[in-house]
Amino acid sequence: MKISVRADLCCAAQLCTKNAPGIYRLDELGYNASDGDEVPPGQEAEARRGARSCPEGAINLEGE
Amino acid sequence: MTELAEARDYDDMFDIEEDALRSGAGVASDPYPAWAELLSRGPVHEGPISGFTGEEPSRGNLYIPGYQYFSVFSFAGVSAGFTRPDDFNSQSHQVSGSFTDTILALDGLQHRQLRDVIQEHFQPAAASSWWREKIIAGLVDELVGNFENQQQVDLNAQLFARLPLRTVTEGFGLSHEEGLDFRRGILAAMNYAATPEQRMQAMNAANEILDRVIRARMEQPQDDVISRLVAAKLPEEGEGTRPLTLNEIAGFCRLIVFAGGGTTWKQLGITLFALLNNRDQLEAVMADRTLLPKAILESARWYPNDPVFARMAKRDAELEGTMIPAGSILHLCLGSANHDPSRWEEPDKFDIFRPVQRSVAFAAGPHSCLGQHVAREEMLGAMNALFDRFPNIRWDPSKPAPKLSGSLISRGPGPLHVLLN
Repeated sequence: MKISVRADLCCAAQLCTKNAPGIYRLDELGYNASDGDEVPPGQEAEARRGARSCPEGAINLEGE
Repeated sequence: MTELAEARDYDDMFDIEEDALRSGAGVASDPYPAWAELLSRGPVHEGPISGFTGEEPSRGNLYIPGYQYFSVFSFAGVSAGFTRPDDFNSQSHQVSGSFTDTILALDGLQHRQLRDVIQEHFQPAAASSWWREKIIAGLVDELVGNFENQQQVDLNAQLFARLPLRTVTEGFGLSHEEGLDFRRGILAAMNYAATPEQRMQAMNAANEILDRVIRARMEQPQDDVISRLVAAKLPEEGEGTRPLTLNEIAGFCRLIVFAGGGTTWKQLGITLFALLNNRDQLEAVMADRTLLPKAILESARWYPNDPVFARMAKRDAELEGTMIPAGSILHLCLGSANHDPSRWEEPDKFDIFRPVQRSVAFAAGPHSCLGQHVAREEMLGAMNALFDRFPNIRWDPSKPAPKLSGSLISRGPGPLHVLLN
């Protein structure tokens, strides 16, 4: 499962990292920097929870 | 309400310079050159934002006496101001007494839980389905239909002032007339030139309208935002949930009708202003509408209608090399951050072909603009309708050239007289 983040939508609410710590990374300004990252096997449910919590719907999980 | 009375209402409420005077801030000249110069000297400067351009440090300019102020001009600094809630929070709204009982002024878990009850209804998927199909498309048709046989029109008065207010009020479940009365009440309640009694009276009148609609939806739910708020459940401490109080529901309505009515009005005008002044880009958008979302984001970057927001330092904190003592107020200058040359090449140029990069036009962090996707749908709907029906749209040369104006913290165009055919 691969993480896709839309740069025009991410607003640095940081709910992804709060709800799925260890899956998502932030850049130095606090925006999601996980675009292109692979979700570690076995942590798909957590990744989904983080993606769902995004207030902007900026996170898509490819290979769903 | 007669057509004439309605027109007068809109003319009066949606006049950018009247708005600046009514807020107590006063009309400010173009602040961007001064902000660029300040940013070139450093990301953070001590003092309220009004002090750097010779404006009055008034409440309308987010100034309350008795606090230490820092103004932040860089993209990194403004982003940090919005995204480090443990250092900088929204207590600034409690200090200024504006929207104190709403998500705007809450922080942390309390903020997240209250915002969560309505968040989904403002996400991109809801904006491009429920809001577009049920509310926005019909309003755009009606409003553009009102003037489509005319040779010329002031788009500020006839379309841009009307669409956002009607979108939010009708989305919430207020009638058109209730929406106008409600906004008039809120504006009067925030007129700091009036006496506290006058402001209180205006707020009570606005609240009465809301109470009536909320109670009606409690009896008989409809497909609208107020009914959703009435049905919503908030998690309680420990376990269990509770419905929102009347005050919490009314707070949402006040905030969203005020914010959604005013900001989108100005940004619609700014978007048209920028495109009509850049004919090559206008023609590109006309020919390829997939460029329109980019044009809207670039308009918000280039000239965000509310270019300054406040935050309060919760504890001593370092920001871009400056120590900010606990209790200080930050004036975060989104306008300057969106023109930070370390992030954008030729930042003062309106250019829809820039690589897509998030600006802070809709702020950032947990308080990032709730209504931004609904606003973008309104802008998409309005611009598409104008460009579909009037491919020769251009400024009316017999009228004064449109200009951007307003206060230091709320800016947009005055009248936008165009020739349609």
